[in-house]
Amino acid sequence: MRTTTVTRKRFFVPALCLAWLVAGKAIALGNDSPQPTSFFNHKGESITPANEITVAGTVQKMVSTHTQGAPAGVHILLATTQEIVDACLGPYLTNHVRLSLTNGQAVQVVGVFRVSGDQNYLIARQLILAGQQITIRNEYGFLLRARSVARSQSRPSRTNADGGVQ
Amino acid sequence: MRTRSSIALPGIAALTLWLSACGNGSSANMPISVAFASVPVASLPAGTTAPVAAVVNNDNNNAGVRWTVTCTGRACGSFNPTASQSNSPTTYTAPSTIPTGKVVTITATSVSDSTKSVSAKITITTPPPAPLADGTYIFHLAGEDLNGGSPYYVAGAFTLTNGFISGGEQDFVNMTNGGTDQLIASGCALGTTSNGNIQIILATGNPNVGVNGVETLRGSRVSGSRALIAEFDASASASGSLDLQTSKSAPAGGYAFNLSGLDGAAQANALVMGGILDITGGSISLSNSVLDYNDGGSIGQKQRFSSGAVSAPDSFGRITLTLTPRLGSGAPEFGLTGYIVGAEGIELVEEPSDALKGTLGGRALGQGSNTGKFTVDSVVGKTYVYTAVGADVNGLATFAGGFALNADGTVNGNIALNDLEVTGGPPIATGNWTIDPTGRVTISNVTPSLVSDTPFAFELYLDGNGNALELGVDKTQATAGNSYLQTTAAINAGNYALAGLGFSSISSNQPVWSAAGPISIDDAGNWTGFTDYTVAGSGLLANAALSASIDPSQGLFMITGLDATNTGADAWGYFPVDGSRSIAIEVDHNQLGTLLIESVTQ
Repeated sequence: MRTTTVTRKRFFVPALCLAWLVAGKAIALGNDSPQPTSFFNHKGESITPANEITVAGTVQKMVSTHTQGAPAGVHILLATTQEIVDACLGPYLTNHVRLSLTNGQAVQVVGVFRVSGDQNYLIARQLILAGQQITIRNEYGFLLRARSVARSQSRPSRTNADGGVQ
Repeated sequence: MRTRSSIALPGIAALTLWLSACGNGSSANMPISVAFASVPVASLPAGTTAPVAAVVNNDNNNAGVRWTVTCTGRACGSFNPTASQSNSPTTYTAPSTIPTGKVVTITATSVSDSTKSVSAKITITTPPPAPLADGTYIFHLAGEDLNGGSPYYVAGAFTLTNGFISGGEQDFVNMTNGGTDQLIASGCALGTTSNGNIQIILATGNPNVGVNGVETLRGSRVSGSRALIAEFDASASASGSLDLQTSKSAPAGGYAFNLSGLDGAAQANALVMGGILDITGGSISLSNSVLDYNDGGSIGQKQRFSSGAVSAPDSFGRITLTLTPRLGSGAPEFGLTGYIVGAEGIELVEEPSDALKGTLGGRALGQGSNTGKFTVDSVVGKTYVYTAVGADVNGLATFAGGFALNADGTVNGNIALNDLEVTGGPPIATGNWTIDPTGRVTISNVTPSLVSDTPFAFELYLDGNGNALELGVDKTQATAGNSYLQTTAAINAGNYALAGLGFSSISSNQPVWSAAGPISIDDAGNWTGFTDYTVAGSGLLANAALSASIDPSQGLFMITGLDATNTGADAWGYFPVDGSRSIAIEVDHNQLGTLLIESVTQ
């Protein structure tokens, strides 16, 4: 089941797919300075903030191995009422969350769909697991790293008034 | 005797086990015997150490052995401890000077029966020349340690006296801990591995860093005063450099700086900071210092400070900087610890108890007489190449490239990046640049970019001597790295030191890999060499063979030996710097990586 929920500015934006441009060789890239023949070969489709959606389903499988060209990090295959969705949850899930993502576990993933390597991926900004909201990316799409309990105890977390930039 | 003891040991041990298994207690009737657990070394360089152990059989008291050493002369070396249990090692330290006759005899004597002993002769040899000359060295590393896979930065100093580490101190920070530790000289060592890499063991006494407080660094010498290094122990994977301290005078004048890592939020963002600090006495010039930052897409540029204090250097050249950005800048007060390499630079680690509470490391480059005198003419027509590590909106990312700063205010060159989804290195299509008198070069509107409506933006902070520091300051990428004035397109044959760092695809959490070692490049551009290689949390690989070929038609090194997930070659785009140095970025989908090679000069 898919429902469009949150619209956020500057979340995911498309990666460019540019043909190689022959330009002046002001930079020496190697002895003869010719350029690699491919670049930004990501086949990203245009994603607008309005594309952020919430997908609900059950975990069919967790995939922890890297597939070339796929978004990096843990993936879950999410069984929805309509299809199997490959959701990328990034590299920084805590062990607690990983262990909770058992087969059959009901979850919701908030994010955007993006094509990479000819496959469609749901890039998660937020995971909702057993009523708990786990924020995976910030409003600009950058990955977040959760501090462990030990970390927050030994080094107090930042607030807007105390610690951190912005 | 040593040979007989070694051969006899398995039989003796088996007999002991058989007697014990029978439970007849007849061992009381068997004579005590002593043998070496393994054949001691035949020779040992003066001042170095070797483990040794002895096995005592038929000793119902289990009293072990006492260790003694004799030679012709008074200084024959020592044991620590001087007594040990059966089959427990002690450490023999050879005398610091070669004794008359060059031979010492080490003896293990049964405590229960002093008539039973075993001895071996060790020839004391001239130690190889110290891999580094005496002096104080400044080291720094950036990577990841095993505190939950935290970014990790360390900088410090140690002093070599007669080839031995006689003292030092260091600072480190990760997401959990941080602080200052005095190095424990008795636990530190400088040596050379069997494969020829430098090995530096630093005992910090702090169980929150290293393996029970001990860090092992390995690397390859660039010169008698510089090496490229990587941490080589089970606690962390990180790379950096080691430089002879040329001065520990209090910093003065302009310093370009950058920092990278994480902010202090409970859900931490990638954070990079940079700018210019103009230091006079114990404070900074508020009008001539400037700060930029990118906190996971939240950008602050050309911010000013309301105060800044710099402490006097301690005996190792360690200083602290307390920097307070102006109210409204969006940045809190932050503190840095610095280790002065000389007038040319300072290695930096964030003070863990500051208000920012981030996890940051970086460096500062001294501008000296160039301070405040930068103009368009300082850089026009020149090209700066760089590599950087950080994050983009796809995930962890590495960037590299070159900015050619044209007279009309435009930029061309190359922009290379890899975040495992997007990879490659096309020419820059659009871009503009400006320069402040402080040496801050603002590069904006750079395309191609990741996002069609968000061109890339960068800052370069110049030292005026051919070096710069990079910062990625747009909403799609937050990166920081080193930059160099490019003066050649050539990569010369010869011997090089290599240091590499990146993010492995060995597991879904993308652990940091690091490597350091020597390579040789032949006239055809083929590499041979090795590194001491680690992937955080996945083990160490000493003497990992490395080879590469060069494809100048594509601007690529094809490197085998820097990727734990690929036994074949990975593709790296390269950027020559000045004939003796080159930088490179991995540009395939296998893993992320950046590397630096520097020509060995002596």
